Amino acid sequence: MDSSFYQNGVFFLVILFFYLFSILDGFDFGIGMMLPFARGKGEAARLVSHIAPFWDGNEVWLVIGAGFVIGAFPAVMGLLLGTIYLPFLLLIVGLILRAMALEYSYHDLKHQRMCHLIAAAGSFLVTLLGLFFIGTILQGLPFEGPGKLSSKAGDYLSAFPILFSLVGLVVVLWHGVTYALKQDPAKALQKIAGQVWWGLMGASVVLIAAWVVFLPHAMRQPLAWVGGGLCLGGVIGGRLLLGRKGWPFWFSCINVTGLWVLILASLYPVVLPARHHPEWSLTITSAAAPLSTLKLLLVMGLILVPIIIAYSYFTYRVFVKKESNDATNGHL
Amino acid sequence: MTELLISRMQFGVSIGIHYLFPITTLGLTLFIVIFETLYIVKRQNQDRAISAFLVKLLGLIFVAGVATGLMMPFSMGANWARFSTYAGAVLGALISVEAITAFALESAFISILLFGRDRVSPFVYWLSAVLVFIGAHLSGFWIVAANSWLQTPAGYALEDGRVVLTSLSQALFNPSTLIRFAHVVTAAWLVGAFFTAGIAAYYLARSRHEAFAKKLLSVALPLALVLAVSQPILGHFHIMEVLGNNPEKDAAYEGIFKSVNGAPLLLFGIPDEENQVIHFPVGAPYVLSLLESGDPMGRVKGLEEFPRENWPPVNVIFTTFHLMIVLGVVMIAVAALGVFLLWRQKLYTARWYLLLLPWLIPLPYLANEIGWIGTEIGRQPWIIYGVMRTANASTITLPLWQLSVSFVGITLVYLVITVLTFVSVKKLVHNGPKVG
Repeated sequence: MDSSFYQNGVFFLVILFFYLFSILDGFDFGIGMMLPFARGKGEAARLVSHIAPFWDGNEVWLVIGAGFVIGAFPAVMGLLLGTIYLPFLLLIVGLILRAMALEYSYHDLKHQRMCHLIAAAGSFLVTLLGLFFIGTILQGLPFEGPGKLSSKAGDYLSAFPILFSLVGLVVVLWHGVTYALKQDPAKALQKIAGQVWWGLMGASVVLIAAWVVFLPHAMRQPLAWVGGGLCLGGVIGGRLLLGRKGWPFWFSCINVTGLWVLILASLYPVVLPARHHPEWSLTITSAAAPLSTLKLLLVMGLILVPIIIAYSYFTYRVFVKKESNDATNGHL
Repeated sequence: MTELLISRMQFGVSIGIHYLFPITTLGLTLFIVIFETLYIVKRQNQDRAISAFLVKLLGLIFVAGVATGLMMPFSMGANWARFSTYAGAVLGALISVEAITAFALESAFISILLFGRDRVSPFVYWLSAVLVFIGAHLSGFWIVAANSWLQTPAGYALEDGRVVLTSLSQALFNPSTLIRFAHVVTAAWLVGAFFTAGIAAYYLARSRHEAFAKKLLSVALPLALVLAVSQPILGHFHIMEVLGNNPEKDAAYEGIFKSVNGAPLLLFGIPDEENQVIHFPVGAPYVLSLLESGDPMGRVKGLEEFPRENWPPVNVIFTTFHLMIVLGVVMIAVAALGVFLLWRQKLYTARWYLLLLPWLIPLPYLANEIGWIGTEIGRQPWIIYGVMRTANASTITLPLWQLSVSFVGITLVYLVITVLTFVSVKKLVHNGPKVG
């Protein structure tokens, strides 16, 4: 098989990793952002208990994705991180804060509230920045020449990425809310979910409009409309089945899936598009590592992804099954 | 130049601090597997109590390792863009494979260790402990292989100005991987042995949790002795590998400036790179020649035979190497004394020894850090030995102020994590294992 097969294969694998990361760690971040608003006694700790055994395993997909980018598209990592340095560093700090704060929230009960607030801040930071970077890439990066990005902050702060990150924040929050509902369909939470949903609906409309306005080339792809349709279906379905325990969460997954279909339709076959100078864009072909590495990564990925999903599913079952039995215990 | 220095310092500080946690994880998972296995075979609650206590500590250490580890792949792309673009095909591949085979496994099953004691059968719990152990060590293997590739690159070719992977097995099992991995894992287990022995001694000296502590100490001390004694032997084979593959590094380790027949094994000295002499040398005559060539009069190559621009900083690596050896000897002595006391059944009454032991927990950590400082600085001026110089590896687009902000910020974050973890581990130890 020719090299374009492997280049595309690994590209889709990388997208799959970031997709899995957003679906799985997405609800961790959503729940993280809910923590400051948890009212009743032990409510926040209860929310944390829904994600305590999982967030770390979910974060692994990001690490795998980043590793694959370094391996399969080495120039991409150097260009992005080497230019947009401090914002990416801030995202790492957000991940660090989230990890430490979640762990210590059940070790150090005296400072539990503070831990929850820090975990929320970390989740917020990672979500906002991560979405902002995706938005920036979607819109096209401010290249100054082949292989050189502008280092002026002003060139990055434009409407689409800002809109994308704000809208995406609501999507992630909703993902967390519906996950919490799936684990624990309490009345109070249902009410909150009803309110968040209106925000989500508004955000989705804004998002699709923004896509049409700012990325018209993407909307010429039929696939983009499939993505948009999935998003709307996911959003509306979640509302219709709001009282039905896990269903809103599964519809939220459809919503997130739709977003990734939109992203893919807007990007492919470019990895880092150059705004104003399409000839400087890094494409799957031009950014790809040599064939031997791509082969290795594709084979490893195809063998191991199902295995990881299988044992991750096993650990999910261990914790989810029992939790519904002893739902009265706040802590794990 | 300052930019390069800051990127180097940031990587040094972040990986130096990060490293404390994974080696503790490796050490602790070894002990957890030992006691879980004892429990599943003999069904004594004491063994389970020990494992449960160590698992609690592991939780704190593991999360600190995850948190501090995130910087590593980030730095590769961000601070070392020219390097990651040039060598990503090998290094990125190894890092990806690490994440997908090992880190994922470890992260999934550690949740069962931490939260699942009452949710799975004893067998599944034991299996999870074993899988976490395997995941952690497999992860260590990939990372050591990646580092070894930088020291002794193999299985690659240079095409179109970048590295191309030609043989995964050669890249992976490059000439220094296996011996380095053996040395590194033994060093990590030594951390685990001193760590657990120190905790057990702490309890015994205060007459707390005595049955628990005696059991733990009786496993940890003999293991510490075996590991401490194996280290110089593994170290010898490792240094022979260095001699073969990185001869200038070896000459700097041993402090040999001028080639000589019948070289002494230096035990102490102050290298003077300027004048190419060792001041105040104390050494065993002919021993280095004997060790390296099997002949007391064998010829040992000095640094003078290598271009000056390829020398590593002799002072630093001569000193760190010899300090590591001193620490190794002290650890052997401490462990041997402990085992002797255990054998003569005087250990539990030797209060002075029990009081001393907790204070010696830092010894293997220091030896680990110092050994790596020697290895990494000893690779200079290369980032990939013989292939790419460190000076050509850093990102050129990063302004000084951003690098400075990031260095100061990351150092502070890492220090906070370290202090927090230390204080919390101490508190857990002070509170002691659950009784009953």
